Amino acid sequence: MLKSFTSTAFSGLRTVSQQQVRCIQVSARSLNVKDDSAPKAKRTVVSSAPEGTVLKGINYMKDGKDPVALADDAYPEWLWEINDPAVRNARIADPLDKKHHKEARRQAIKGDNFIRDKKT
Amino acid sequence: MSKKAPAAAASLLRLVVPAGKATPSPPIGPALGQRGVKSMDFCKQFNDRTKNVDLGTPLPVIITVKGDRTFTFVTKSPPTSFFLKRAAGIEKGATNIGKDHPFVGKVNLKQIYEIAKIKQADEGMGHLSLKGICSGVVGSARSMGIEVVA
Repeated sequence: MLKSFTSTAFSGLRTVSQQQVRCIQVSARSLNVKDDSAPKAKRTVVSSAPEGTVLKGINYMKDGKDPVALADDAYPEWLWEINDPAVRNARIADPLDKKHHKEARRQAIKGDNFIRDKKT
Repeated sequence: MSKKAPAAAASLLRLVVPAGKATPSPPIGPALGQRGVKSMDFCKQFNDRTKNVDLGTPLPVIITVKGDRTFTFVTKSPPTSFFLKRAAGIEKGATNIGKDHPFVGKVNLKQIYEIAKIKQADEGMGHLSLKGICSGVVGSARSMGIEVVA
């Protein structure tokens, strides 16, 4: 009897057709090592809150104060990318990225629903 | 496994209570009363525990009521929407969002970062990266009609 798949981690013992098989997830990405030796492009985004601006609305304790903005460089690099649509689109375009497949699946479902929609 | 008497069934209760302003009247009173907890007890303890917080700040609280009607509770950081509305300087989020509707407020990435840092301290967030939490806050902002600028 096939054991049901309960965990998301894809490693350990699985019973596949009466045999115990040890499975290890291999990510597609690890098979296709990217060359990161090229120097990264300098960040072009400049924050609208320069160093020293008081970041209003954050503090909620009686004895605290709103935090003050640090210099742009003091923040981690990924912060400037989370709002960047170009970064997101690049991930969607990359066929090895999970986002690509999620987006493809999402569009397929939308298309499917559109076709099935009964038009009056 | 050793034989033990079965633990008295515990029930969880989730509420959002303004800091320092817990009162026995609805919604707290009936919710606690149903489980046999004296709401005055909870209110006193809650107000005491939140005395360092700005009065009226909404705080999610999880109350665990044991079978013998004793209770413990945990307070978490205020809801993300609360932070975002204050950071953007608005009273309410947008009624409608989307490409045909203008944004109702604006926050910058550094504010998002600070909000995420506060959220990260919550118990349930231990497994999330700060980047992940930031993305979540950006998502909340988007669904409230608040524009996220650099």
